[in-house]
Amino acid sequence: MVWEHYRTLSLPFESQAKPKRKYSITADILSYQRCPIQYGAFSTRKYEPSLSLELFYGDIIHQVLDQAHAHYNGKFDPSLRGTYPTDEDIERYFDEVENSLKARGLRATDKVRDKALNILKKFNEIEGPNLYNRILDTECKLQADRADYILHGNVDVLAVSEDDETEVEIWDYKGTDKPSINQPEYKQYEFQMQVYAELYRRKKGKPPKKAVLYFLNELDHVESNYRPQNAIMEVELNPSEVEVAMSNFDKTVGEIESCRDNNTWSYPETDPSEKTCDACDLRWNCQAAKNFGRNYRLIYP
Amino acid sequence: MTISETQLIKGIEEKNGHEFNDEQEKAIKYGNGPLWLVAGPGTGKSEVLVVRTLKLVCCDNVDPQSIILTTFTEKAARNLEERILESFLFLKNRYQELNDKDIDISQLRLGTLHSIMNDILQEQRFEIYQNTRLMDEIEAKMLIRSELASDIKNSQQHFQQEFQYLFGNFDNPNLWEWTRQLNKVFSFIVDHNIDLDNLKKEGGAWEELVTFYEKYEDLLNNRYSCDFSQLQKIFLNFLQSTQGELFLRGNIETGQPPITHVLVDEYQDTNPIQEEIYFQLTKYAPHNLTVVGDDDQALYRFRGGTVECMVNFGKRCELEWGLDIEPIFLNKNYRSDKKIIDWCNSYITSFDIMNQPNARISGKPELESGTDRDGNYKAVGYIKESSVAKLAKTFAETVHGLVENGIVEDYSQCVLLLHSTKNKPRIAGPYINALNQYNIPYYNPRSKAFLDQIEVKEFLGTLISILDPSLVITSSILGSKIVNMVEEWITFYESIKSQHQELKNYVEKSIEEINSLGTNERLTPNAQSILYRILSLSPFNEYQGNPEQDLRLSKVTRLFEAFSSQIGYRSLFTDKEVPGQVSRKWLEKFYYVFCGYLQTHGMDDDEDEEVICPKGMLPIMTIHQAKGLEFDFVFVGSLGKKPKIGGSHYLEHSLASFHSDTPVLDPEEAAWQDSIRLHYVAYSRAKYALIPLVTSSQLRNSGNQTASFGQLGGRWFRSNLKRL
Ligand code: SF4
Repeated sequence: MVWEHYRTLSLPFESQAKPKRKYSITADILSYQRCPIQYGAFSTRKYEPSLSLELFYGDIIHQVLDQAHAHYNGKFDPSLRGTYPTDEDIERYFDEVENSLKARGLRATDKVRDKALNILKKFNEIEGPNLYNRILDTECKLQADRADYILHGNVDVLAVSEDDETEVEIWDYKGTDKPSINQPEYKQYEFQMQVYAELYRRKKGKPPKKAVLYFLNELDHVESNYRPQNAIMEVELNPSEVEVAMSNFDKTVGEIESCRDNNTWSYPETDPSEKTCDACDLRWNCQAAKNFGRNYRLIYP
Repeated sequence: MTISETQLIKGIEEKNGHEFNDEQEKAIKYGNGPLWLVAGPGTGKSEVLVVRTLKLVCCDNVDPQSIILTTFTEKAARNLEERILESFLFLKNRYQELNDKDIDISQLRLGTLHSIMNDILQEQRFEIYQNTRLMDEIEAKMLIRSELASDIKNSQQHFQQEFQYLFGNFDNPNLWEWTRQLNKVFSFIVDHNIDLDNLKKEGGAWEELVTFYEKYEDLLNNRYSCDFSQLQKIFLNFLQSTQGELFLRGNIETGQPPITHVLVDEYQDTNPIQEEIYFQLTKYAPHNLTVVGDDDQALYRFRGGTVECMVNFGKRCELEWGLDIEPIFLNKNYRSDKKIIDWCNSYITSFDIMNQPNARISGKPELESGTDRDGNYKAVGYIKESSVAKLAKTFAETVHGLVENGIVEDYSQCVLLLHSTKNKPRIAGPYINALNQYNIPYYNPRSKAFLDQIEVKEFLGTLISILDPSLVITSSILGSKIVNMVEEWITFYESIKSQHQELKNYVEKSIEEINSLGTNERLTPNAQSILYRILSLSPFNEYQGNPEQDLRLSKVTRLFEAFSSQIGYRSLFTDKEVPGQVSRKWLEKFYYVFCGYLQTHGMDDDEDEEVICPKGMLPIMTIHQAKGLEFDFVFVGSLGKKPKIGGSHYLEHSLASFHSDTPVLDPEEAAWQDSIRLHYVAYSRAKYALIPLVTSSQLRNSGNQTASFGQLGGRWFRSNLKRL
């Protein structure tokens, strides 16, 4: 027998250390916290969701704002450096982004489209003059090496503090209304900002002075040129809060890892919200949604 | 604060438990200027790359953001990242000095060249790349098939004749065959950095090619899309722009530091446009471009790679920068038993064709054993049988014996390397049968067996039963292969519907609903959502409990998304003329583009992104997949074949006249060299035992029939190696 030639050998199995996984603060941790089942299907089991209006909305808002910042920065045209984008500029950036989404077959209804555009113009008008000149960096990448995983996130905006030039603020845009204090998102967004602040501190050696969430949908309801009160939520940053937020994320990652290992995804503990379920491809046969009193009847085809 | 090079080396040596050899240390410490590092198999090249990167950061105080480090695959990038991080943390613990300053090692620009280019273009907001989406190969092909192939096929006059070699045996290639080849040629002219004006001047087929290519580029622009090859072109444009200048030199306003160091792994598989990119990235003195690779292990000519970039790196540095550099050779192999190393050396040097100019880097020393491990057993020995079936049986029996007798602990310590891993009778089929007989579990994700799985057939059968219950399109215009495939799927649905009442109801009610509509009425804003309604019903919701079936079902949704994004719309309407029927136009696209892709390309299962081979299973791999890996026992099958001259060989040859510098081999010679390198990679994977599997008739092949056995062929092989 051939194997007999190797009788003298005895080679142990050396398991290869699995590399640490990377977890994104928004795409992994927050979306798992929203609904583990949905997260499991679309992030780990690699189902491709039927792309919805929501994607259109979030994408377009972030991209246009980013281009408004780049405009002010002179990234597109150095001669425009320091000039504020006009309504027409915003429209133009909006059209470009919209066309690129259309090319992939993603179309919004007129209502959604107009709302997004309106919000962007309002933002540009209300916040631009006071914000763009303070911006240090956009889509700033942060990362931290945790014991069992690597945590990373993108901060939408890093800006010089209004009243102290040596300090920095972090801003994050949300394409939603401000959640009320008893909605789960409220706490999750707070955690998110606290963790960003911590990652920022580790990178730069000094924490940001402020962490600001901006709820763009609030702009849709205003007629005036003033920032509505609810548009902004400032998150308190103190070391003990930050600690709690970090350990909350560690715990979530631990849960995700064990779900992955066992290949079962637990039901959400808190209601993922009607809007989330309404847009979820899994709703046709979802026990968790039923537990929250949502029954979706099959439609044909 | 920084640490000294001596501290760095000492620290890492402590961590590894062994010392670096002189050449390794020289490469790690190498100062400014281009570094040409030629590293044979098993010579510790990745470790050198890791430590050299750390030397830049920890000893030379280079900002991690100033360093670009590219690898060939995502997997390799993750692996390198992990190793750098781990060693860095070790050094931080070991040396207090490194804790004074906060070094953010995660800011290294590390990844495949494509991912790095994409990141940089986005980060720098390069305007023509704003809103552009990077497509994968499937999407690019679906786009060409959906929007271009038919026009091109109908309008071309010289193309097919000139490029007959691409179409092989097809006299009347179908549109998918056209798609495949157009995709290849389009990529090739970009990868080889061909000047389109030169092509145009040539007239005839070449001019036609440029016209077609420009159409493709326009289409990409209209679609706000870009493919992998285009990305390189855009990036090169970026580097030559003012924005690019600012990026390379650093931007004081944003605080982004300049790019000062570029390190490239697997440089032997670099293509000419990438070579250009690397030289542009390091165009400012002192030109800190480190290239690492092995000319003998170049495997990717079919993807545009040209080993000449590696072989001629010295000349290119001389030409561009007037620098005279010598390669550093890593030739101490720490992987294999001495007899395996000796075999690899004598194998590759046996060929005259490898001694030609441009084939290998001149002055390259032979591999030497770094461990002097020389077991008193047959470390290289072949198994010979009269047929492949018998060979497969002996192979399985051997693997079984190795594990059963504790020679290896786990199946995954062995590997079977084949020229293709398709589960077909003439390819991997016999080996799979034999493994099954011995109850040996195997891991073979690239078996193209995706479409043979019941869950896939039932799923697609159900979908088509709803959308095209009377198969209005198929009978009249579809090619017979697609029709057969689709009809088979439908029989799969038919066979399960009686046991799955809910599914049957859903299908029937959906058909009724569609029938009740008039012309041009919307059925759904998003066709993909139908897939999810099907998946919510039995038996599909049960299949989802099985991880393998689940992954295949999810793959169908991914393919469907690729299809939807390439045809450019997602909503589904009834036909414009015939009431109560799904749009004929959509159905045609669905059959030709989506089903056509599946029919012509087949589909592999997804590979596990995290493990190379799951514990407890024997991996069956192609040699390409095995690149960079090592196994205790390596079995190599599919030997004795004649080197195949492929489209890429001819294409490279005929394009040679359009780009200047390197002389290009004739296609046959190139094919031989590639085949030799492929065997060399296979043979050098083995740590303890290399076991070629040959049939008597394969072994009768001479050195001008096959590259498997060395220049002197099967007879020489027989007299030099032992039969087991
Ligand atoms: S339907 Fe709601 S509960 Fe169910 S998976 Fe989707 S989001 Fe979660």
